[in-house]
Amino acid sequence: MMNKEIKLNTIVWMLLVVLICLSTMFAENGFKSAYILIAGLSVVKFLSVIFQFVEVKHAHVVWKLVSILFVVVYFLGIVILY
Amino acid sequence: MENQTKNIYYPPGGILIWFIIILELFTFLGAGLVFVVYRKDMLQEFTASKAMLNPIIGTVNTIVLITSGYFMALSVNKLREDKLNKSALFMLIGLVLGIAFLAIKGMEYYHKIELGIGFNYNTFFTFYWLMTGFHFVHVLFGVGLLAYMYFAIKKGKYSSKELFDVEASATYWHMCDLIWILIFPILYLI
Repeated sequence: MMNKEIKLNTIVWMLLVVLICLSTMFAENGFKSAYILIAGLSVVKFLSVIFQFVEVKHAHVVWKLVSILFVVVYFLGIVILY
Repeated sequence: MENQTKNIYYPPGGILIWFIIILELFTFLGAGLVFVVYRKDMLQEFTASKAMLNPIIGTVNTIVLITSGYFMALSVNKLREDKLNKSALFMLIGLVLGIAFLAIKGMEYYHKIELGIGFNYNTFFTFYWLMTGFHFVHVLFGVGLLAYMYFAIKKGKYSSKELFDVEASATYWHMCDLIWILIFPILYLI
């Protein structure tokens, strides 16, 4: 079971590195709606870390919902206020 | 562990660290969204100021911090298997990467101070210093925590049956990742 967790951690870490680089590439290209993509990628990064590394995936559903709601507020806040 | 964390009062790392996490995350969320509002009002100033930051260095530092979090997660996994040496090794790598993050950030700060870009330079940089500085202090505290955990694991203080402190420290360390994931794009990218 633990080996499976380590494999998952490694996959998520690689995904995070790719997403971090993609965010910077979108920002450097500077197209008009890049901020939506960058905020969207931040949502994916946030959820990847909190569900896999913090292990919220094993937690009570309330903590899962709190995590998701929080990052949705972040995303909508940026999209609406930008 | 899984049965315990399924209980609403036992989130990963314990309920107390989660109070801190929620408080911290909402503080940074508020600051980030206020930043976006100010940006709209002072677009020219914010665009010019953002151009004074180096997104590549910021990206490298983000990868360094995320990789540190990854090794922290591996350290906890190995501790659950009672592989203390591997757990300590991964904790040490996480610690070194945490110090590397602080060193890179420190160089960035030094460069800004050298150019006379301080706290009162303009509104953008007031936000920059407040948000990254507050985060820096959290990482600094986390590095101290990781150093303590490293030596404690080495001494055999923790094992698969006694790892609550390590899990709570890991959760704190990941909180530093989470905060950075939120503020890095706001300050450096968008």
